[in-house]
Amino acid sequence: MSHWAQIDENNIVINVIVGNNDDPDEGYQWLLDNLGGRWIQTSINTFAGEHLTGKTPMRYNYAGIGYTYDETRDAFIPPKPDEYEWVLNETTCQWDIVEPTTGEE
Amino acid sequence: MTGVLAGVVGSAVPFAYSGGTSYDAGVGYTGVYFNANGTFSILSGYKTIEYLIVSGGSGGGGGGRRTGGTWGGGGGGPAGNYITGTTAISAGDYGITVGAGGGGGLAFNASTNGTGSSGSAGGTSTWSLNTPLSISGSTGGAGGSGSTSTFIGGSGRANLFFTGGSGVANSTSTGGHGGGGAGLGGNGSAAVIASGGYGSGGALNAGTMLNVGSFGGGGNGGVSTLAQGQGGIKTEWASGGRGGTGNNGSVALSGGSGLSGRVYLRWLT
Repeated sequence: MSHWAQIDENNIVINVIVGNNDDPDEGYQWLLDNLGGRWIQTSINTFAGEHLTGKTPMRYNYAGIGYTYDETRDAFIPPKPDEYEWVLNETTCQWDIVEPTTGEE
Repeated sequence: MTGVLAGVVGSAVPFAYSGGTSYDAGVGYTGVYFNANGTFSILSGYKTIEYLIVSGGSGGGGGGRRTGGTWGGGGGGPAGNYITGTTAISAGDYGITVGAGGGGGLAFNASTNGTGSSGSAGGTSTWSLNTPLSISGSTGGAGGSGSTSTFIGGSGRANLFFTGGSGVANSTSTGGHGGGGAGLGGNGSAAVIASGGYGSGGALNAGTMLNVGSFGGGGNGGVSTLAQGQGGIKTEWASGGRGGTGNNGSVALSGGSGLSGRVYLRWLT
């Protein structure tokens, strides 16, 4: 099955649905004709820039509701965690913590 | 799927439809289901249709990590939510969308202490009648914590019908386990010292759930060490994702994805 993320005017993912592989375009045109809005394909097997079964990854991460679609990077990026300071990893399009300069252990 | 049935009592027009995949809907019934987007079309006649619309299951929480040795497993994701009822409809095209499973929450991996992310909610399923019928998934399982003071496993989250299990702190050396996610058959269980919590089983109300069998188990909670929690129990759809492991020898692991929902329709033949 294909998977499609619906994004709002701010490129925030508001729904993720299952597309029909029996359609020539896996359901994309059906979504436009019946629901309208903006739909971006996503892969349930893509995580941190890698495909879990070794195939070609798609848009870095499987889209989740609340994720942001970054058009420049063509990537789904999860929300930035609250605690600590984070920087976007350009290889995975996930957030890496900015390591504290002083140990706390 | 396309079919033409004998004329309905009180109607001169035989009932004809297309769309969906047929299934054994019970004695005296005809039924179809959708596991992806599509259109249920009534070509002629009208029917009172029973429906069961199920959202995607939500993802499990990611594991937390602490270099000092107190990890927390993520909580299990809850099974998808559902609505059911009847509606009378006549000729027309009625679109259906099926919510996808929510992704697993990210693990926390750093040289400091921190909490894994919550899983994503399952996608919304909709039957586009004049007044659309839709149902969304609930929040995914909570991430496990590895921080100094709260090395507790993440809680399994509730859906609209049942509660998730709570996470537990184990010890300062082995960390905590995540609670099980709520299923559609009962509450997720709380984690205990020895293991993560279990997600509850799926709904088994075949007689009242359009004869669809079991679906929607909760995800198991993740544990603090090597073994991960598992996905929803013995169901093929709408299950919640497993919680992530707190520590897999060197890194915490992310939660698992939930499974996609479905839409079932049936009517008296």
